[in-house]
Amino acid sequence: MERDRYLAVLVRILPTAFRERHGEELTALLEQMKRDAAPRSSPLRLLRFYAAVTWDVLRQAHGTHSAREFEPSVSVSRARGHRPSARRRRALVSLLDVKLALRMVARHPLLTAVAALALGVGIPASLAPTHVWHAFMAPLPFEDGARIVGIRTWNTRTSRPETVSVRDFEHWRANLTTFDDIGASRRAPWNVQFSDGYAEPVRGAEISASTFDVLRVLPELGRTFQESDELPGGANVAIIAAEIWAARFARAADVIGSTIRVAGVPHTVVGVMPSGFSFPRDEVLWLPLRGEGANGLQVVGRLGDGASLESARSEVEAIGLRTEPVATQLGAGIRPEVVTTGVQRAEMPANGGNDPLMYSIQLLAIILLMIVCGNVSIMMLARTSARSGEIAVRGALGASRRRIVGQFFMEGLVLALLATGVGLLAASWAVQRFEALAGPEFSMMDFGLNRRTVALSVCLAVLCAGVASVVPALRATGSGIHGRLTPLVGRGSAMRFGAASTTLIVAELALSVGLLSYGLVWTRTVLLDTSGEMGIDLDRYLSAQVLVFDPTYGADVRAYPDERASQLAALQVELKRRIEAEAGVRAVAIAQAGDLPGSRNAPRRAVVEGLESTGDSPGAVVAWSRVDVDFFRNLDQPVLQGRDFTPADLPEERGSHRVPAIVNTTFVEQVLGGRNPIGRRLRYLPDAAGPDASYEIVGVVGPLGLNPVNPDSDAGVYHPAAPGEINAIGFVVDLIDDPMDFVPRIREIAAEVDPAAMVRDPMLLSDLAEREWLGLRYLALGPVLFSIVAILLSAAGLYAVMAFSVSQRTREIGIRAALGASRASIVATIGRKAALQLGLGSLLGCALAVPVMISVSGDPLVHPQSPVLVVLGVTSGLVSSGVLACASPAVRAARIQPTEALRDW
Amino acid sequence: MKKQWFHILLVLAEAPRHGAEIQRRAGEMTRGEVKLYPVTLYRALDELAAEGLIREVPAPEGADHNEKRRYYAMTPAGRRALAGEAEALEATARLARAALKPGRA
Repeated sequence: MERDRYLAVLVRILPTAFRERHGEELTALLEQMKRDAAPRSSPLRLLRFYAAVTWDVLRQAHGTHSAREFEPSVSVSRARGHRPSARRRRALVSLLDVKLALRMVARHPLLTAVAALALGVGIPASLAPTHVWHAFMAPLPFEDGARIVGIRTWNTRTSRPETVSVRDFEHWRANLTTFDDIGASRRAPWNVQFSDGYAEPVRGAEISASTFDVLRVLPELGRTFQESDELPGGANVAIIAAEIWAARFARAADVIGSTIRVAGVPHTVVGVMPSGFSFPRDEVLWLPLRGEGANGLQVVGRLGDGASLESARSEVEAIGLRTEPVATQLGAGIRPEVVTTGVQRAEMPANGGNDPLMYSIQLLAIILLMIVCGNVSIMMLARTSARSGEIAVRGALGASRRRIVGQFFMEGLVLALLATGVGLLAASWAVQRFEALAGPEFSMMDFGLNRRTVALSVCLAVLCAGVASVVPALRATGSGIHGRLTPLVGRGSAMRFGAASTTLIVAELALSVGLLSYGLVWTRTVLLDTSGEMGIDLDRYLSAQVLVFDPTYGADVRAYPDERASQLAALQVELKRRIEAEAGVRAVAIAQAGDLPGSRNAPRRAVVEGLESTGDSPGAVVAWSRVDVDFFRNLDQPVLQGRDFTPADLPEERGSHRVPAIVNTTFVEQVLGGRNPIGRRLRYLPDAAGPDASYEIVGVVGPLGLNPVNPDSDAGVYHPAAPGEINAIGFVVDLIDDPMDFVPRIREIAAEVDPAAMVRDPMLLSDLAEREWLGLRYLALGPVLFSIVAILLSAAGLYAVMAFSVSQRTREIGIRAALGASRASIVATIGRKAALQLGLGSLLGCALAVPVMISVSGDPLVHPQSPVLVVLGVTSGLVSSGVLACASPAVRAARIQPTEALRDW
Repeated sequence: MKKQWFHILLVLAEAPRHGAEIQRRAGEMTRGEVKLYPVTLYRALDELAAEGLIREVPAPEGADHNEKRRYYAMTPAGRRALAGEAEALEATARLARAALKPGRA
């Protein structure tokens, strides 16, 4: 029978001697009790059982530890002479401290909650950069994965990897001796038709037979590729992933030998890979790598025995020099190199592991955490000061300073560990959400919590506990704890808050103003419902993207030779004709897939001739869309001024005429300041998206969902695109009935027109928009969460300082009241310091936040709002929360009765 | 005397037993009132042995020798301690009954 791992862990908490003596019986009894407790595995009863036995172990563990000297066989007289308590080892921290700490945590729920929230957010967040980094840089998840390295050609001028050709690969394979073997693969999505007739785009790769040896994976069924499969003209064979085997073949054993159509060509399935296998990234279908002129390969190799990354690196550099193509490329700053697979995947320079940016981000995160810690420390200091009497008594009774500090440390540690545990659970949930959202692209990387991150978190928790509790405890026990017995008799604590606490609170307030302003802007931006302002009802349309992928030229249509482009053009025209001919279809509009309404179009900087601005950043950021000439007509969008695109605008008809552009009303308002746009010339600042050509504005249309997050800032320009110029082709279908009912039909039509054409993401336009912008919402959550924590912390810090000050100055306040001071003047005396901190913090915060805000509002994604107003609003909100935090201590001060305060004098 | 010590001694007053049996029997005798959780039980057994109130004995005839279980029996000192505790409890109960007699305020 399977043993309960939790119970096993519980038993391991017990001391070795006790475990050796009773472990077996104890475990058997626990298992028996578990069976008795939940015969029908009722979760609630099981939970009660686990709670009870956990409590039993924790409650008794201390006793069993101290009872380790018990020798059950000794005689009664000897045993009586050896009371265990007399021999108990004096530890710096004992289980008694843990108990006391737990009690203290429960007794101060507010302090616990604020400190736990702060540390619970702070610790996992501060480790996030290195966690993500390590997930990216982790070795491949295969046997002895650290020995698998990447071989690539690197362009030292552009700091980008260059494409690797089959010739390079074969040359390396033939000459490299430091590797056991090397393999190459090339990612390519294919349209695959299974025996049930259903066609769908599948993530696939062409892969060399040797790759399977490099990765050391064996198929679940059948075989992997052989060298003979790679020969041109060989049989068409394919290997599928376990998930396809399950989804399309119901895990049938006779899948080997069955036929699937990959891009219309029949292929025989020769193997099924084990579940969880994907390579080079998230692929689920593999074909043999063939073809002389092929390039764009990803090459990996397994280091041979005794070879290191360095020896492989120098060999590859030496070998790379021997062939002519590489030698000539070297002149262009291109050289072959060996890197870890993490570096290869991230496409960064080989020495990227020492990226200073990465380290500075991590350092910044830790500094932020230390600020958080400092603040928790202030709260703990305030509480410690309230317990100075207790400390003094314990000191007088003989407790060493070490012992007392140890107890405080344990309190901080329990708090920090609890907070870290909760924080890590929350982080783990967030990671799962992220992985679900991110899809298979990250399937090779494991972002889940690992031992390293948990261990680092625990280390940070210990560090935080040290900063937050040992410092106050050392101060509390500092200059002779016996001296504190005097104030204990009635004057309050003799401790004081130094300049450090003031600095911390001021820093935190300043940070809160900055963060909250930033967070608020984003929150407002992403939470606003903008569906009414987009000029198009996204719920009404079905969208689908049809992608043609050429193994040689990829998906970038600009690289396609004429013949391939005309095939693509024919596909677009035919698809449109077929869809329009369907019953229930009102119209079909076509645009570049990424430029559909609701998508995040690539932004470009546009300049209107004659209106060039002379600032640091010339031009206006506009969304840039390539659309079919019938696009606006088919979406029922009237051209408000000028004219619509016509077929005469397309390259073949246009001749030497200037390329036309249609702009939207926002463009007219924001870029042209309301001037007449027709006939004006427009050009883009040169960037990767296209050449620096000049365009003529011929028309104006209304808003059309170019920026769903912020429709007020959706300045955009449309250009006509001829069939064959766009890939993937984005279809927007206007239907009479429920748009989703049409999805299977679109797939069928595409499969009939071109079996290689892949239909991706058929969904409502509104769902597409939602998916595109979802990430932004998550991004906005970060600063908001941080600012909430920062505000809570600064308010709690202010409260702590204020409350501490009141308790410390009770006597003084009593005298003032007796001498006739008004309540207002007493509150003023007490609140002066807090007011100073609030004032300073707010001022600094404003100074910090205004430039941040001004830069943020330049982002077209952000809803425009007055930066100064937001900062002022945030500051006043923060000051109010600070005042509120001080209110209760202030009221307490005002109510101090002279008679009571002076009674014990 | 600790509550769990008392109940363990009570069970062992009948016959020598091993841990799981003690736990089961204590539950039966008190109609489920007393539930000895494993660590509490084995810790108490160690303590009782150290105090000389019980001792480990070889497994009785007919026991399954494949199971490595420790059997415990009560010592004369244990019997005296149990009797003393029972008397003390009885005295306490008498006091309580007297206090609760009708007619007393």
